[in-house]
Amino acid sequence: MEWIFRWLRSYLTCRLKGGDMERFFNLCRYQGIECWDMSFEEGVCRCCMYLEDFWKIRPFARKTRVRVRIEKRCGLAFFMNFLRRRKGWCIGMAGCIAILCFLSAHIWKMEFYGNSYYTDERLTKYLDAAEGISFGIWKTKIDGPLLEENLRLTFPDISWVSVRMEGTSLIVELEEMVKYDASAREQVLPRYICASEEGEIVSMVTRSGVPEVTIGNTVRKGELMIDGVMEILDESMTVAESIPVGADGDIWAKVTENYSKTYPASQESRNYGRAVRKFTLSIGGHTVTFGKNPYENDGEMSYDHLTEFYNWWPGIYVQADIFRPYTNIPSWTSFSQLKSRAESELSDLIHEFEEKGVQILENNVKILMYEDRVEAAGNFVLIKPIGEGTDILPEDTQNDEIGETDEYNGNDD
Amino acid sequence: MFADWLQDHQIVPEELSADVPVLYALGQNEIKIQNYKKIIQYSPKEMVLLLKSQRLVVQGDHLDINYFNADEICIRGHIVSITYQGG
Repeated sequence: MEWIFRWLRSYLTCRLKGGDMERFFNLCRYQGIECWDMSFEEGVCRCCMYLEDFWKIRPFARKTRVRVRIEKRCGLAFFMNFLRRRKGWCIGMAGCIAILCFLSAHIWKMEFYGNSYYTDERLTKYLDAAEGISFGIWKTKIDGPLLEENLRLTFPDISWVSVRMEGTSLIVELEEMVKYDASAREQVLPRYICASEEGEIVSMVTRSGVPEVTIGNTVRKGELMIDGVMEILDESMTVAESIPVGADGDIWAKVTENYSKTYPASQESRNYGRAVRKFTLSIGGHTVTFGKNPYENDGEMSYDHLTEFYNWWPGIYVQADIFRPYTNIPSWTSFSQLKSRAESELSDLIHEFEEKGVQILENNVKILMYEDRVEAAGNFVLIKPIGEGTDILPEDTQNDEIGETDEYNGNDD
Repeated sequence: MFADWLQDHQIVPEELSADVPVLYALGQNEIKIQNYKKIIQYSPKEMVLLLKSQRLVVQGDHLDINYFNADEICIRGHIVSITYQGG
């Protein structure tokens, strides 16, 4: 703390040499001159003293024949001198501080936490329209407790809200009353399980519902396999009651999956030219554009157009448009490369089957090389799950069941 | 006579009323001396101060005056001995 007072009073570091130094210090002391940070080395003494005291020591130095030399100047008086010589620097510094203070006294960011039903946009819009709180508002104009109360009254689903300011951010933390949806928690089983593709059933486990097919049956796509409505028959074998239990089960079938891919040897590639950039600076509702699209009116030239946005500040952004002209040139890929690509994609597919737990019984895919292309064609024989839950039967299956009652809903409509 | 009276009634601290030197030693590295009269010798090995009726000799290594003013002097360094001479 002491150094601040010393700096404000301004002080000098002096170098004393020769003469009667002890007498010099005693004279200083009698005159109330304070010295500090003294060091003595090889007949030379260094000490600090206040600027105002320095003017008093001249007669003592003459009397004791001590030579005094100033080594360093510190303090406000010297700093003011420094500033007087650099007016532009002072104005710049003062302007910088003023801008900093001005910007620090405003809100430049709004953050909302804990909201899910009320979106950030809706809350921002409310603050702007109803409370007059928008980007760039003075911090002093925001009354936190009043804003909290208004938010609670305006949005009844907000049970708790806290408004605080951190730096130049307005932070609104809130909690919403969550409506309990019991039906959402219960797992709803589908009404039917149908075949997602054609195949021969090899394994079937029914957990809920009535199985309509058995192991060994061949099913076509969309065929009903498990019915989720249990029918209770009376003595005359007519339906006495229909209980909707939902359909659930695992059905695995042997299916044949075709595979065909063509890799042409001749392709087109793009030869890109020099990119041209266009910048658009937008401040508020005003925009300034630098550069232009040189290919806009050139109907023959093809070009790619990329757009990037840089959001510097709320309301201030830069849009960079990049135009890259290109020409299409024919290119050829070697057959060995095409073959390796075909093999790689085929092995990726096999790996994907393995990851999904699909069993591969037969792999009949062959890679054939023609004059202008490479083809991978054939089929796989797989064992895979084919059950697909649905609440509506596919149209072709519905036609078979025309005239049946809607057991699931329990009415005859 | 007035000084004696002040001392007897403990109105003013004894070190002020009796005008005796007061020494505060902070370990072996710093010593503050109040009520000294003048600096007689100043060197890194030895400092001699004049008190009211005797001399105070501070011996050691790398001795320096941290500060001095009208009331107090502070000596820093590796202090080996503090001796009173005379009186």
